[in-house]
Amino acid sequence: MKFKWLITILIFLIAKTSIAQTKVSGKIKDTKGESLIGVNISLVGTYDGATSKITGDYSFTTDAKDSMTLKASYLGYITQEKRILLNGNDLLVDFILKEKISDLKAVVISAGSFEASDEKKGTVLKALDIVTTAGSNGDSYGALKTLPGTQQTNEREGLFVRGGTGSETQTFIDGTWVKNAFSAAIPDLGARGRFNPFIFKGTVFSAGGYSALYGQALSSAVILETIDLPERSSANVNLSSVGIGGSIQTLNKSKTESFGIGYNHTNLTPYFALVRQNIEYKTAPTVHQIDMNYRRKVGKNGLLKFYGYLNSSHINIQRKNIDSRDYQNEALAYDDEYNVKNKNIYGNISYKHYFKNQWKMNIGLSASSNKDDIETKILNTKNEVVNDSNFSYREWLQIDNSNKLITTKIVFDKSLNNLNAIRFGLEYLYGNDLTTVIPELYKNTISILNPIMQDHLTALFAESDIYITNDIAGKVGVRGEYSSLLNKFNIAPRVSAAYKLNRAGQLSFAYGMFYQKPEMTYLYKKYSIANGRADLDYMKATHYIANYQYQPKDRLLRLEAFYKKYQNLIKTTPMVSNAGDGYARGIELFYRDKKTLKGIDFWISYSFLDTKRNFLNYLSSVQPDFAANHVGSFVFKKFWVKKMFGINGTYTLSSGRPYINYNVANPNDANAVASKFMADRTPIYQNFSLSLNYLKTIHKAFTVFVLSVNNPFGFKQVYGYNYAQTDFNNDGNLYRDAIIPPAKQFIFIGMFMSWGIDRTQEAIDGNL
Amino acid sequence: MKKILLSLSFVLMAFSSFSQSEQYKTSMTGLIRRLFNAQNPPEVYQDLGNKFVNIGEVEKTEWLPKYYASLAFVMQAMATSDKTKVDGILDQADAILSGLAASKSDDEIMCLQAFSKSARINVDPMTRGMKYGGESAKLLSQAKSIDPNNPRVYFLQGQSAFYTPEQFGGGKKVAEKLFLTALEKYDSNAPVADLMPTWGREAANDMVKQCAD
Repeated sequence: MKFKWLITILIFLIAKTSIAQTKVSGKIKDTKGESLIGVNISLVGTYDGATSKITGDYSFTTDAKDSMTLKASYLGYITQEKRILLNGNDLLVDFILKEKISDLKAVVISAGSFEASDEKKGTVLKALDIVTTAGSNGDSYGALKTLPGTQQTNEREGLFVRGGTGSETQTFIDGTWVKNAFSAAIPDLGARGRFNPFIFKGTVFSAGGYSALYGQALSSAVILETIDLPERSSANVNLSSVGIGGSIQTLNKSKTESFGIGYNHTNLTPYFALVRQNIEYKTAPTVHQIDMNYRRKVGKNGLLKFYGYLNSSHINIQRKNIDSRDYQNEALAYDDEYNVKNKNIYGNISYKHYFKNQWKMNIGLSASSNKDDIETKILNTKNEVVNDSNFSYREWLQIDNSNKLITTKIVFDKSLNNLNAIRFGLEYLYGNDLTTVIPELYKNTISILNPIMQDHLTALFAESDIYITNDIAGKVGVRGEYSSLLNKFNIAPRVSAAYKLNRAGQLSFAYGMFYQKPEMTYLYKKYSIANGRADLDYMKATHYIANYQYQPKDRLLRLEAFYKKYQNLIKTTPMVSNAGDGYARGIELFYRDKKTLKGIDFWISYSFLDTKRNFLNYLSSVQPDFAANHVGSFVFKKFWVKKMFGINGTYTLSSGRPYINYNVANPNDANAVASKFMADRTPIYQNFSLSLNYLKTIHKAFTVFVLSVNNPFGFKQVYGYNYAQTDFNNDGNLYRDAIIPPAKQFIFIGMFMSWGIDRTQEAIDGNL
Repeated sequence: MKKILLSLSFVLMAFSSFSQSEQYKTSMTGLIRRLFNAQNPPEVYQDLGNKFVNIGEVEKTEWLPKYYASLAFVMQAMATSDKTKVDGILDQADAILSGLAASKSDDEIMCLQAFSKSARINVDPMTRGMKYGGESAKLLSQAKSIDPNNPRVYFLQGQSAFYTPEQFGGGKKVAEKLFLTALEKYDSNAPVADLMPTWGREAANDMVKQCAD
């Protein structure tokens, strides 16, 4: 009996160990029918499982029995479970996995905008690209001028984008509008951006179709985001051919609070003493700037940031007075003196808080005050203020411009499932402007004093991100504004969408209406002190953008076509009104490649622009004088890691721009032939910039040496022509002079040292 | 006959109810050996990572399966040539590691977190070096303060120094010193328990030779 019993047990045990083995196999695909490789298939509660192969097939055997759960999990896909019955018979179990909508894979709407960021995906530029682009000379806007859509209007203030003027591009820092983003400008000499590019972690350059969160920018928006807490404490010193500076940045031990302060002094006196300029600088550009920042984590979910500066600058130049040159008389060849002192204060506080339930709040407050103290004189050959009735009231002027701006903005953001989100908020801007012009010689008799003009601008906005799958996404928004100065409302809808065609390619579209108040100069002309209102309307632009982007590894191709309609632009003749209009359309290409030429990173951009405007004093609808039909840039960067040496170069080519030929069709002349207005073109513009960088550690200081040369080949650059406004010698011809840069070349030598920042890793190559 | 049958049935009984801890130990040992086969292709690391994940899901109280799962994914990331895939793989490793780090302050976990950070640098050294290099160095110094005898601290520091140019305090000489220290520690500090991390010795040996070149 016992023997039989043992045999039974034995049979049972043998059966258990051998017969119970079950083979489980199958195929894993995604919803598009493509095989998925690397999927983890596991039998829940056991060690058994397999990983799918390149064909999507998997197979394993198990000793487990009865009803079990088979799980398929894969990065970026929704995990799936199936009940299976294990009884020794081979099992075939297939899975079709559905992709999760995730940040990493979801399509990004790229129509209209270029982004420079290290954190976000799909960006065209890195934060470092802004500073390492040759020719930008540490000015963020300089680097943006190598991207499609921008014009090479280096003689003017502002960024001219897609047929828009410089004042139609606005800058935003941490969400709020910055009024005086450029340094005090002298006519025909251009202006630099005021902000140190190193304080920003992200830059978005939008040539159109931007979010409803931003307003009062007709053509383009530059959206900057300051860095959060720095990585560590540091100290910096810089010494260059244009000035000196230093800063310290502290970070507390728990990494929750940081404070930084810096001082920079720019002074071109020594440089201009060595390198002759074609205008006389009585005071070479001199700038003192103090920067401050403070950042603090508030609890676990809040971050407070402050950034601000005090800036004081002075330039005084003396150059040819064009009008007097029409006398054709050496004794009456006058000069213009232009002396500008500027004081600018800016502060920006922002607070970000993450609440439970995926709510986020952003509050921003910024305040700025700007004061230009300008003195203009017309001097005779003995350098005395002229006494010439043709120049009455203009011989010696004191012009005071000042403006103040306070902006506040609050944005609520709620993240829903699958990246969907809604956000809405409120913005309020208070601004005032004051301009006074006093002819010095008649100080006691005449003073052209404009009243202080104030505006309360309130805006409400709402926007929603909609993700249908990882391949289809959209953004719908609307913005409404009311300006007390104009006493008018506007409603601006914005819509954009993107569709991913395949792994590397995508299409996106954007549409939007954009409004902007006319510039102060024109508002003043229609301002009534009685009711505090200016009798003008918003200028309006409607943008349509289509974009194709193809982004295989280390390369990127972007093609973009746009159409813009401008309405209610400012006309100054016969009187100031909103009677102006225009359009702009074009095709743009951007190609960046880090792969084809080993170790060389380059990009090419090309813009074709067809635009016409009838605004200001234009006689007809013509291509404006700030727009060239063809603009192209070639940028390259090469860095030798072993030698710690880099070369960057930028070449830019632009077709000629129209200019007003006052001798052919003078807009001030009632009999001018409109068909000949602005028909002339400046010569082709080209520029090349080269910059060499060498990195070295000197006594624990990470040091960068920079040598950069702008226009080393001495291309002749003509931005336009200035004409005498009166034909003094009655020869039927107005004297003219070309607008050219103050010197053919510009050379910069600099040394930047930092202690505490370990930038060693930045130089590590990709072999680790 | 009876006796034979009886003993056979006991053997089989023992086999079929193969104790969980035995299975754990054998499976882990086998997988760890395969993990350190020279020149595994990325798919093998992924498969091993998946297997460690599965063991970790069964043996919920053990931390080593999760540790090795992350290590396998970091190694998969290092072996993957398509840089666009690296972050996703490392996200997987980091998710497991941050779960471990939350419940356990351990120098080995910190070393592995540091390893994962430096793997991220590869994707874009110019812009990522500062952030991830700094974070990695910080984790290693924390690990060192917990156990100054952990050889992997020195090995990973050596790796970082090896790829850092001399001008910036790196270079072969500095790296060689660190690798030699690591080797010393490998010899003098044998792991106290089975399955504990031992990796890095051979690589440190190779690196010493490379430093001498």
